[in-house]
Amino acid sequence: MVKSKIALFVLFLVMLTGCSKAEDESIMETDPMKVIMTEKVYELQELEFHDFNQIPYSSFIMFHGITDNVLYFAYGESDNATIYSTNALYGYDIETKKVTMLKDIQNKFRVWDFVLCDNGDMLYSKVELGDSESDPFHFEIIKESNGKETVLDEGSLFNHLNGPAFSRAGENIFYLLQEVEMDASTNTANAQIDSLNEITKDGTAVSVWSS
Amino acid sequence: MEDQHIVEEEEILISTDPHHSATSVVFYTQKASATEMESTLYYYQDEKLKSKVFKERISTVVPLTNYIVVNTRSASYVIDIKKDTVKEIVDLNMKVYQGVQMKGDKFIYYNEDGNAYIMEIMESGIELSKVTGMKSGFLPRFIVDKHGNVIAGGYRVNDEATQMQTVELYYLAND
Repeated sequence: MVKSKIALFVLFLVMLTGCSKAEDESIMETDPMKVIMTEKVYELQELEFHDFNQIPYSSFIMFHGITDNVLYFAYGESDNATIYSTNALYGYDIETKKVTMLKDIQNKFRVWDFVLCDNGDMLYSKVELGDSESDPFHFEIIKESNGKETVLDEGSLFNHLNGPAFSRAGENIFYLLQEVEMDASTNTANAQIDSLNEITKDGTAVSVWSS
Repeated sequence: MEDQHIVEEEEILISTDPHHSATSVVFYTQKASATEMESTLYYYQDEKLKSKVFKERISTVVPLTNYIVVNTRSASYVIDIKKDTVKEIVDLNMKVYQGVQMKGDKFIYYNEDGNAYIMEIMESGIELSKVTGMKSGFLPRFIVDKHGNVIAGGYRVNDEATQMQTVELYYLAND
């Protein structure tokens, strides 16, 4: 009985030692990795993009993703010196070279990123200026399904260049945030929260890591 | 805007650019003080979050299937996800911009020498191949589909007289 208790205790200690190994513990290998330059050359082929081949300085095009030969991009214009607003979201079929408008945006806001889900729903991150230039930027994560929009997440950002962008890993869609928590009475920031969030299959946003 | 920033002794930054392979999401935070810089790289895979600490500023990361390529200001490293090891890459004058996974452990990136390259990480070493076909001055953003085919989209020429800029698209089929 005593022996079995000692054995269990030793097993517990071994498990505890194993579990306490830091997740960030890594071994820096002394042998470096060497690079070999091959003779193989990959050649890019230019694609026609006539509708958007020439755009004014005050405009922008952002490329966001490709699915089944359709390249998704946003086109927009400069509002002022600091923020651009998005005019529309498009799909470009690289086989037929045809451009299709996916979403016409009438109000002045920036779509920082967007992604098409496998079921055809669209997820996009929207960034807006506040009422005054000193206000933080307001962001929303929006799901559009059959023309109906649902806000999955919203908050404040200090830098519109840090708007939420989507990442895909397998079938899962994630976005990263560096948002600020505002004190409503003074309208000043009292905390900064970094987080990795996942859009679940039922269409809700859940945090999987936060600082 | 500046007066509303949270002022701390340490500044914490997070990379909000999307970094992802077919299987994992990778991001990093950087903590800077007057004397030290510490970057923590996180990778989230199969609902597990792991991290690695670098005492330097991370400039870019490229998540692949079995490896993560990490570029700091002074060096480039390869993290072997399964073995949990970090190896430095030598013999490479590399500044990775827009590194995007094509398939497995192969990725395309744009280098500061104005050329694009395809790099493949293997157990035995790293193979590097040149990509041609981009016109001079083209700054690409690489987009890759699930088959590993690449679209390079971006701007090339700014015409001061007409105040117009040229947008170009290129395609590379994954072999």
